[in-house]
Amino acid sequence: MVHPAALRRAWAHPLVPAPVLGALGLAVGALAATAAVAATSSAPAPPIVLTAWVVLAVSAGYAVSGSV
Amino acid sequence: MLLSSSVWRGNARWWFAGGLLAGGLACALVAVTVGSLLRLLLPGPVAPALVAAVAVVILLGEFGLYRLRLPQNGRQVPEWVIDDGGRNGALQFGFEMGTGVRTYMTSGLPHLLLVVVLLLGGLWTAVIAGLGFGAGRAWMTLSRLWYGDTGRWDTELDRWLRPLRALLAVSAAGCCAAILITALVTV
Repeated sequence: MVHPAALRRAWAHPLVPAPVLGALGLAVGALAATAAVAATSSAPAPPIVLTAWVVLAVSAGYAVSGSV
Repeated sequence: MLLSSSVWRGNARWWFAGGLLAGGLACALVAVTVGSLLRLLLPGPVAPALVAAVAVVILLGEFGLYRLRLPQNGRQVPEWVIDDGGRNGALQFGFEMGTGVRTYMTSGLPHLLLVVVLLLGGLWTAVIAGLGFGAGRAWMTLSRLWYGDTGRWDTELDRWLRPLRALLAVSAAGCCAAILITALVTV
């Protein structure tokens, strides 16, 4: 049984979001590149592009917030 | 740190988070409005090329290859905003922080986001970008409070800051690639 305080510290650790955002950013970049290469001059699917905008924005906000 | 002050009682942290979202959204809407005028002056692939160049410069700085000094308004939100108390103080504090114009910029990624919105953003992507920026700011700030020991959280942040910044730079690189590919294919 995991203690609630330990669980809260685990997911609230400052490093936790970074690998998630990093993996998402790599994934959308790879998917977009694949779409462009696999089908010549094909734009990536809208969900990929929207995810890219969301992840870029959240990453930027998270990156700067250590100064609060 | 201001957010560990006893001033923050009750639901103040949520009003602060709401202010961050509103500030990010306001800044993004201004950026996309200004950008829509700028883009009238830039032929076809010039805007994506500029974004790519800026992204390379900023991201190499994020990976620590050199120290990049970018414009910032390095002034803290004044104490009287917090002392205003309750939801108004928290909301205003959050809004000013969320715009990014009254804060210390410890990373170049907000500048990169601003350039992407200016040169490649439409209305809805700007809305997404603004809210996303505010959410990212809120996420770190609230997680610091939820951690339960803000001093230890700060120590952990200092300890893991370099890999954290590198991972976020990787994220930004992938996202910029996706956005640029879309822009180039649709030019």
